[in-house]
Amino acid sequence: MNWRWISLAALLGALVIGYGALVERNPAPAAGSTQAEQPGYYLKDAVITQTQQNGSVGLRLIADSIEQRQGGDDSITLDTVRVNYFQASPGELAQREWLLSARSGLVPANFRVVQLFGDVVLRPADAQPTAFLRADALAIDTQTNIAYSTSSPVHVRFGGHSMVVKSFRADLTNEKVRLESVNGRFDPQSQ
Amino acid sequence: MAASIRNRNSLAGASGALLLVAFGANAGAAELPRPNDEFKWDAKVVTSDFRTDTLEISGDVRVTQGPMSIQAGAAKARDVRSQNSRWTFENSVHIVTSEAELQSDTASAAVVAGQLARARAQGSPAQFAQRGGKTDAQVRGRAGVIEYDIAAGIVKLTDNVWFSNGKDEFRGDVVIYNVRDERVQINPGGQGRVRGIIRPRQGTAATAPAPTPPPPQPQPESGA
Repeated sequence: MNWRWISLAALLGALVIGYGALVERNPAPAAGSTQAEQPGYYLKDAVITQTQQNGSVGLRLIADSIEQRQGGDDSITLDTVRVNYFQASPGELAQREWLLSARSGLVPANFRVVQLFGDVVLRPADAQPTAFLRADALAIDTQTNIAYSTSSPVHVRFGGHSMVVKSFRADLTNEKVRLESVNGRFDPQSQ
Repeated sequence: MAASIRNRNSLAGASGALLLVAFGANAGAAELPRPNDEFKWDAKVVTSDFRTDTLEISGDVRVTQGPMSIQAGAAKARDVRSQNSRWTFENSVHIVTSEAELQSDTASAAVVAGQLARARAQGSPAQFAQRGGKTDAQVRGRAGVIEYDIAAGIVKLTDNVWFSNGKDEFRGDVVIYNVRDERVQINPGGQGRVRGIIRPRQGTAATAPAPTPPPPQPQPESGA
């Protein structure tokens, strides 16, 4: 009789342990079907540097605030941004530096195309301060070294001339700017 | 030395002459550019760089300032960041002001303090026409080079010049014409030979013989 009770108790214990092990191996899913969002970073008065494959600096972003977008694409937004863009031409050892400034910016996780918005100014670092291109918005493809307009029409200022153009494209390798369908006027006061 | 013109049929052979003629074409009051007129331009394509302070402009180029305009197939603007820029135009250049019209193969223009101040047209030949006058008394000219001081209203034609007021006509090395007081000086330095045809005004034809054009003269004259 005692042995019968002992065997029954052992069997129940084994069932409980087995069930526990099974439950441990298949945990219950979290509430809802989406994964919890990872918190992005938020930096104030920050500098982010992107290096090239050879270790040299490719891009330096200086901004009043830099915030990583939440939601999985890992892009970052920037407020009151200045950019030092270093571009080396094939066969050139020395890097050419470009300076950009804008009210805001958007940089994807892969840093391929940097978009800038609001009173964007582009100029070579070693040129005269009057040698600049100013636009409402522009993007830079960091692989092709091309800066281009992202909206149309776009207001552009080049030296003492302000223009409304359909599109523009600046090749940062040879420093050539091409503007299409241009309506310009000499307007030195608002430089 | 000055040679006055009488109502002769031909001045062929007058040499070393300074001729002053008031054409009296009665051009209308010219609308002159004002200092606050905007200097505007448009074109299909503009290329530039960040170093040379130059714009290369192509495709239906049109520059305007108040009543003035310059149209061309292509242009190049230098010193564009300063108040004083220099523009060159090519391919069917057409310069129009309220006072005059020039057509040429190439031209250049000076912008001084943001204002279109001077133009220089070159062609084979470049052509000048005064605007606003009577159609049968239009002052016109042709020359290798035509310089136009827009602010002063003075046109200077050099290099194989032909000049006419619609009735009389002259050939010389240099012609200076003031489009405002409509006075013309031909070969003002006293060099070279002036050839002209002065035709009688209507109403005096009964007392003067009809003009006979001189035979074509070899060009250019010596002493240019």
